[in-house]
Amino acid sequence: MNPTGNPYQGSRPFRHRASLIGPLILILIGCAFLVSNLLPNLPVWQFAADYWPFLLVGWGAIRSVEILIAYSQGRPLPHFGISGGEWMLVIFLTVFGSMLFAGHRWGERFPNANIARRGLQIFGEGFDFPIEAQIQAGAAPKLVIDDFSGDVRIVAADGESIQARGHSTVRAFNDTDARRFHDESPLELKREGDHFLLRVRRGAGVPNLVRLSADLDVTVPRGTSIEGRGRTGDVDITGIAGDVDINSDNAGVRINNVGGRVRIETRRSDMLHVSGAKGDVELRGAGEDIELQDIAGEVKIAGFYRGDLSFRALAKPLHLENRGTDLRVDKLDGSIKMDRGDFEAENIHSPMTLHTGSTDVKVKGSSGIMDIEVARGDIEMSPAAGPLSNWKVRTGAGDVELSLPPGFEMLARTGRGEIDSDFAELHSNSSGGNAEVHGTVAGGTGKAPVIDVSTGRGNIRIQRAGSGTLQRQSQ
Amino acid sequence: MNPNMPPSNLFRALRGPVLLMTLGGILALDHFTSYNFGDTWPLLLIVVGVMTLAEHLVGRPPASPYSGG
Repeated sequence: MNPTGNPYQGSRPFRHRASLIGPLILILIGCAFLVSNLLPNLPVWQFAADYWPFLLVGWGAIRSVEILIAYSQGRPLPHFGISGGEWMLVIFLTVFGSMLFAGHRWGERFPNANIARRGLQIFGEGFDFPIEAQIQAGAAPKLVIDDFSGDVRIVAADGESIQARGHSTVRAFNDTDARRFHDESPLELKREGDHFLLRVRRGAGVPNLVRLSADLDVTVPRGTSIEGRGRTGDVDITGIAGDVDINSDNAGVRINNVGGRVRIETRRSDMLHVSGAKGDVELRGAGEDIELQDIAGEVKIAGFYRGDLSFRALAKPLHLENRGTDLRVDKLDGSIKMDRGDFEAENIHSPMTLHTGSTDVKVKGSSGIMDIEVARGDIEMSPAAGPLSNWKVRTGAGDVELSLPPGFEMLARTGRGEIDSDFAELHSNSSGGNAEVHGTVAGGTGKAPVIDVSTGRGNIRIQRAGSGTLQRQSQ
Repeated sequence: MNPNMPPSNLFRALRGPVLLMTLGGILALDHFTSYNFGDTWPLLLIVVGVMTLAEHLVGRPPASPYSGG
């Protein structure tokens, strides 16, 4: 045995140990295609379009570990950790991933474009067939829409029957095949236990590759409850008095004037719109835009919604947990709009808590207690006319601008920056880049509310409300 | 730790993987936060600079105990 303890060292020609990267990438790509083929409703390519940069991070991490292990074991190190060929693969991966990401975004922006839909519809053509069904259902039935693709518009009407009318579309190479597939896949509307079932039942002889869809206008009794399960396509529901429960892979959902509870869970959605709901509203899953207004019940949202979120006139508490953002408002008289980097609130007259990441925040005309904490971003706040409430405002890095009437106790700090104030009553300290302003500005009645403001890096401006131009008093 | 292999070789070998991780991290920031690639790409230059600097610093021969004081 040689002094290193390795019986083969010196007696075996040098050979690099094969990297794990190549096989792991092959396994990942294989798994992605396999899942895409076997579970076509899972948004695999959407996931890939979003998360592919972590492949580069993982690649670099695994190669680093391999190099460190080789170093610790005394094996020869590669001259460069990533070879020229591997960099070419990285470039290819980056270009391909960026195109996938851009295409995905483009598809979200233009959802009706063909490329945005699953599976390019380039073979064959669509053949339309009229479809119709009707059933007596009573005054308050439960309607289950089960697993089909296409758009459904549901409207409540007087009466006790459910009527579905529209057309089905079969994609095929010729009229004969299309008619056969259509005949084998009828529209079903039937009673099943305690509910009524509406679906297009794919015939046993219709290949899975043949795309079947149905666009339906459905009229239901006013007391109807709706449950939609595992379908793709848009849902539009108006005027029913019962609950709405949608669980979908990919659906745009519009719900107007419903009397019951609304629950929507989506894996992907370009728009969720609910207005005029008398019950609680619960949204879960992933999607893009959310629009809620005139909601009488509580609103709970938990998921991964990446588009514009808009809330207006919510009578009961709103709790949003979305992509690192935690928002709670007891009651929303005004409006809140938020997107990827901005948050705007107006006329909030009840307590509001906002904890989020990189976001610019604007709060206008609000009188409620505020607790705002952002990791990074500018904050601009101006209260409603009338007495102030306690405010706690934090940003890790960013400017803060406050427009305040007299009558408050101020504590403002910046770790690196300046504080400007219109109020001579406030006292300032500054040293080594830090600045702090504190004091009480008389005015108003009762105990002065505490305005507690802090930024890790940035300037703070405290402006007198209604002063028009800011008269700066450098602290 | 291999006493026969200078640490500068290690830093040189790690330069590519670390750069790759940085690139992936910057692209992930672009996808999931408000920081876009146009803002954060200088990090790539900084990482290359830091790795090269580290390679040079650890690559210096150790001072002899008999040279000077």
